[in-house]
Amino acid sequence: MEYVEFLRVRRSLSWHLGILGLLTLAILVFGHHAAINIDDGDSTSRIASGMMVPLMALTPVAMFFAAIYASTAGTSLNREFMVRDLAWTKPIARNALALRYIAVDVAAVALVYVLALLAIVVALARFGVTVVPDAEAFGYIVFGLGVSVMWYALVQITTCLLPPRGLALAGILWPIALVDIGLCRLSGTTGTIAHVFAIVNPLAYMSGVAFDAHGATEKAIWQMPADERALAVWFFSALFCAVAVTLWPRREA
Amino acid sequence: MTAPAISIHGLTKRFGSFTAVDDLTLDVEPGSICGLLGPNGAGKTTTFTCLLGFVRPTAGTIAFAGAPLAPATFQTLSYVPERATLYDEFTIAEHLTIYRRAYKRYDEARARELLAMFDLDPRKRAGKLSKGMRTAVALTLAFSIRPEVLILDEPSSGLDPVHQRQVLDLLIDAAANGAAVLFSSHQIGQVERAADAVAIMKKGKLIVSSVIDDLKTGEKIVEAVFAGPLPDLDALAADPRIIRIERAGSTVRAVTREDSDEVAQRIFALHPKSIRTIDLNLEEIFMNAVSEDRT
Repeated sequence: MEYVEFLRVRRSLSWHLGILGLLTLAILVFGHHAAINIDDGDSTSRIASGMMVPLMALTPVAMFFAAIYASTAGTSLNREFMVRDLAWTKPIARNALALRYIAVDVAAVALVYVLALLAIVVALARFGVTVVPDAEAFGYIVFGLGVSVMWYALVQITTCLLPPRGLALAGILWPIALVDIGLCRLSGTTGTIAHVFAIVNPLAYMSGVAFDAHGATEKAIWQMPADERALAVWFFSALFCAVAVTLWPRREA
Repeated sequence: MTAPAISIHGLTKRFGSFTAVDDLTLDVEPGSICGLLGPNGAGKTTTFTCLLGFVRPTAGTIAFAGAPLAPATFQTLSYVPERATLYDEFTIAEHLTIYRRAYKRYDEARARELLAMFDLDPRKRAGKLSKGMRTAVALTLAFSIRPEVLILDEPSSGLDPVHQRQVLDLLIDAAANGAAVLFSSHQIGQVERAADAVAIMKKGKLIVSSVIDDLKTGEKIVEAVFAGPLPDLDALAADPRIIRIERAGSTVRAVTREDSDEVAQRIFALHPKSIRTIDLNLEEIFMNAVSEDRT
């Protein structure tokens, strides 16, 4: 394990998990005054006490939390290049060093994802809602984590060669990804171009999942079952990380 | 015969049409200290970044104890940059832990000794340290692994005179224990005190590379004081053995490259009130070198 990244992750996790904990606590304390309404565009439903929610339905929310964390964790190679006098004079190959950073970061993203899922389960229990581990839950959990890790990898590949100011790109990627999803609804050239970008847009793979407990719907950008989506996001995660691990050591001071 | 601890051969680094380092060849033997001098933009830092593999040389080879740079090289190589790079969010103690986990040769007792020498509080965060203290932390880390090769870019930058002297002592001590030291400094007095060899660069080229004592033997100043008006020195200035002539009041100083005794005899023939031959110090050698482009 790369100790530098472990220290850094420990610091950043304390912030993210602290916020998650405070949100959960706030729901537990003030939750009895609130109600949850779900609007899928066509109809509105209300979550009430006694309801049962499939575990897979929670994955988009947990994914969102983990992806926010991934936005900061994904800049680790860029930040490490700024201290290359220390990082690149360690007795370890740079590729191996990059790989270690990524391993620590991905483990942290996974931890945030799992803890976010748990926090949602606890928060829903406050409303008397039971979360049911349905048959497809495991596949969706793996898929949701894959989207978060793909987001991490996307940030990593886009920032690993940039100067320090380039870190802002990690934040700009969010609106770009959301606008891309919006543009995918359009027909014609714009929609086609948006769909091309959607291939590498992690959020596009999550599109449509939250609305249908039975898998992909006609609203989804990628009309694929969950296991195929999971395969796609994990493939791109691995690909982006591999490219970042290859590119980063080739940077020149 | 053992290979030099640092061997640079024909090193060239170009950035587009600009040549930062031009065909540099330099060896640093184990147990020796080489001071790398040069005006700003001479190519010293680029040489260091090439040595450390931060940039790829356009041409030339670099070897450490006969082997090319590899990750394992850094088990015994320490580098201190001009602006000490530290993890700003971590404490000094955490930096030491990072080193302890990364380097087999890390010596905790040595690190504590150096912290005490530089008056550093290990609980302080690097981001809160002054420039001098950051340099001190970088030096502590560098020496904590008891390196066999030390590369330092302005190692006493920001330090007070007491600590500057201590840094020079550290370099001398490291060399006495067999380490090869290559360091740059704008403070020529420091180089003169610590180094046994000097390399002078100008516009990317190595213009002088020699043992300091040999340089001092080779170049001397013949200083003559005249009672009346100065004699005509044009003929003297044309003498190829003389690098340059300086006039200050009634004093004439002729900087000689060779045969200083014969030059002294020529000046003596001009009937000065007094005449003497003195050794050049390193600063004068440096000034001569960078002002006349000897290659």
